[in-house]
Amino acid sequence: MPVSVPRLNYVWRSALWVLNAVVLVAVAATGYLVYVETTWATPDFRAAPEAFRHGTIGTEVMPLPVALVLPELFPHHFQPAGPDAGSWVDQFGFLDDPDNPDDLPVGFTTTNYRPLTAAPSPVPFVALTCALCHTTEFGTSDDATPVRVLGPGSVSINLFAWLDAFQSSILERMPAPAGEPRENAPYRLTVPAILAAYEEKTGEALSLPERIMTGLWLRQIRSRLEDGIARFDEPYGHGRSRDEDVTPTGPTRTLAFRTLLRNVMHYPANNLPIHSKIATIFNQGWRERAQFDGSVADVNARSSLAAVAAGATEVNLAHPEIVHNIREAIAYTIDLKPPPFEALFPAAAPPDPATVERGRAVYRTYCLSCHGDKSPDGWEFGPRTHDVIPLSEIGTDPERVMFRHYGEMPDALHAYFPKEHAFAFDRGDVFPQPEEAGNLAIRGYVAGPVDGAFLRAPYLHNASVLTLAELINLEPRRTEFYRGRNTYDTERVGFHSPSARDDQRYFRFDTAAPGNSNSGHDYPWAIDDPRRDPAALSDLLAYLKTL
Amino acid sequence: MTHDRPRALTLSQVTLVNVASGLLIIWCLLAPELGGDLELGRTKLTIWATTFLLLPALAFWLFRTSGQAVANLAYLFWTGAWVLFVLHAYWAVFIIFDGVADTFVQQGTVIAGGNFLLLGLWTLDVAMIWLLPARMQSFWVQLVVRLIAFLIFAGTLVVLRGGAIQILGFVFTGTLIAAAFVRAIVQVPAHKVEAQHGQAG
Repeated sequence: MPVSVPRLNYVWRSALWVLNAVVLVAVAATGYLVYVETTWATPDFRAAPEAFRHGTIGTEVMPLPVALVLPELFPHHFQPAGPDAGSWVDQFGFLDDPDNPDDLPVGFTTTNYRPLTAAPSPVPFVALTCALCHTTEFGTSDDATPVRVLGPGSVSINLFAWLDAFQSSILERMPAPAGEPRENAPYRLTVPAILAAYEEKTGEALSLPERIMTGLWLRQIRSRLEDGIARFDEPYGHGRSRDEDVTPTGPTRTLAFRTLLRNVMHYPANNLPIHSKIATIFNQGWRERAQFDGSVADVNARSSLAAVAAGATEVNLAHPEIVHNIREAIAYTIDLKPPPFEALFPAAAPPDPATVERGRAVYRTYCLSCHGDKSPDGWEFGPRTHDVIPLSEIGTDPERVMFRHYGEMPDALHAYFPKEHAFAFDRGDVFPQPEEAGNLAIRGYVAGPVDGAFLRAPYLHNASVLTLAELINLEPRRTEFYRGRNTYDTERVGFHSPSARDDQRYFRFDTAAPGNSNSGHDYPWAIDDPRRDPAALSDLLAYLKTL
Repeated sequence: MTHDRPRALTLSQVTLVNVASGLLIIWCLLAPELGGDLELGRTKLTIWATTFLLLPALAFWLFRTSGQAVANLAYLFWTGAWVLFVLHAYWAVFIIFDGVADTFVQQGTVIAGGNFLLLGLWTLDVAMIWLLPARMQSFWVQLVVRLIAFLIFAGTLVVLRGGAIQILGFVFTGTLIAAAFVRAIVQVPAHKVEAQHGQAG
């Protein structure tokens, strides 16, 4: 049968018209999506204290619906000590926040920004704030009502263990059928599973754009974690996240600069015992150089690099709200004052004024040179305050400043922010300087003001000394103790430790482990120094409570 | 017939350019959703897409006198490329930078000035092509605008950029230079063409 050319032309022309119409509709729909995106996120420019507490610093982690259901879907990861040992908030050392509208702990906020880029998102994302690491609670017993303070490094959170639990949940697969390779088994966490659990928990359903974004995030984070396995190995999970052999950083410490080594310099940075306690950030305006090794001088770089270490990128750190939050949080800490000892612990015996005065004399003889002293104007700096005291002199654990790539890191950090970036800084503000990159003799720890000394426990950069009494060698330093949610010892000024682990103090801190040494800083006298004067040290301890 | 403006457009010609331009617009706006800096990604991809359309636009324009269909495609692709370039300019000036003044500050007077000059001339040229009758079209205006577009794109992609877009720049530049050579080889004076037509008649 012959073909009708007119009919063929008619069909062809109709098809072309339809094709044009489809493309135009698709372009219009894309344009509408681009417009709608602009309505998803509205910048919130908070005042300084609120920026510190609730402002994102570019550390969006996961969609809010995921954060709400993950601990319930994966209790074996998020309640490693079992359901009777408390919620995931308790077990990873976070602090409850009764004011959080989503029942998330202190330091968790929600934004409509996507991770890494701050592009707008229809579904809220959970982000971390400055308050997460720099808010803590002190209680003198497990039964006492703890006092919450902003400024000290957290003395309970185990961030790396929580991240291990989070990553384990993302990568967990269903059991593989017998004989089948494990990688063929489907993942346990899926968008339908998230939706069902979220709906059951909140009674609310996610909109289509929220579902799509949640799925997009899940695909991206899983791909990133899968790609990282070859470099960093798998997370542990399954109740092992908090164990000291799995997460040797333990509570209240970070691996200083490991994220920077990985994300900025692209090294594996595995098995680096560069444990460093979370810093206390009172009176930042008094400090010429931050980080325990004094490696960052610029006040903006201190915070922006901390944000990068926590997962922010040069892309989302250019977002106006995030720039604002970080700058306001910095402003908040410039003159943030520690509360007095007696205000925090009113039940503790007040120090005898004569003892304090004698202790002040000891302090000014042996400590002022490096740490300075309080003064009516604020702080009187000593001749060596702000100096980096070399390892050969201070004698504390060397790992934090002797790791591979230490010398080349400042160049990489300096190059990380383009010169027109809001957080670009001068090369002269990060150390070591290029000509000293390989000079091991200058590496050490910075001598800074010790305002709020009683709130800086545990002591030394690696949190290896539980009390001030041990730090000044009034008492021998413990070689082994347990960390977690430790109670405060007002006599020895620091933390109690049980003799064996319990649900609250689950992490065995062994000072013989790499990076955990409690040696060094033997001032005024070493424990075995024949000149050591215990009475003078008791006086000194009393004075240190007043700083 | 001058072939200096589109005429007797066919549905196939329009569809070809419309679909190509439409799909490129969708790609530019949606692909960055999958990762990276969303707005910077859109800005970069719109310049990729402009280049994809500008290449056939300039190549066909060199051979537009060979037939009206070629001329039509040259003007259609030129217009499609202009739409993508306007999108690129919008994202660059108003989303990445904070307006025209900030664009000059961030990019420098030479680069920003060159880009704004091209945008203005290109817009004028597209308007002339579609709005003015054939007798008012100017070969020289078209030549100058296309030459400026070629030089700015070739210079920017090949000299100022690195990576994959530099490779695109080499392809863009090399193809158009080759096309210009071919055009120079195959062209003959108009009176010879008329004479040939006369002998044939």
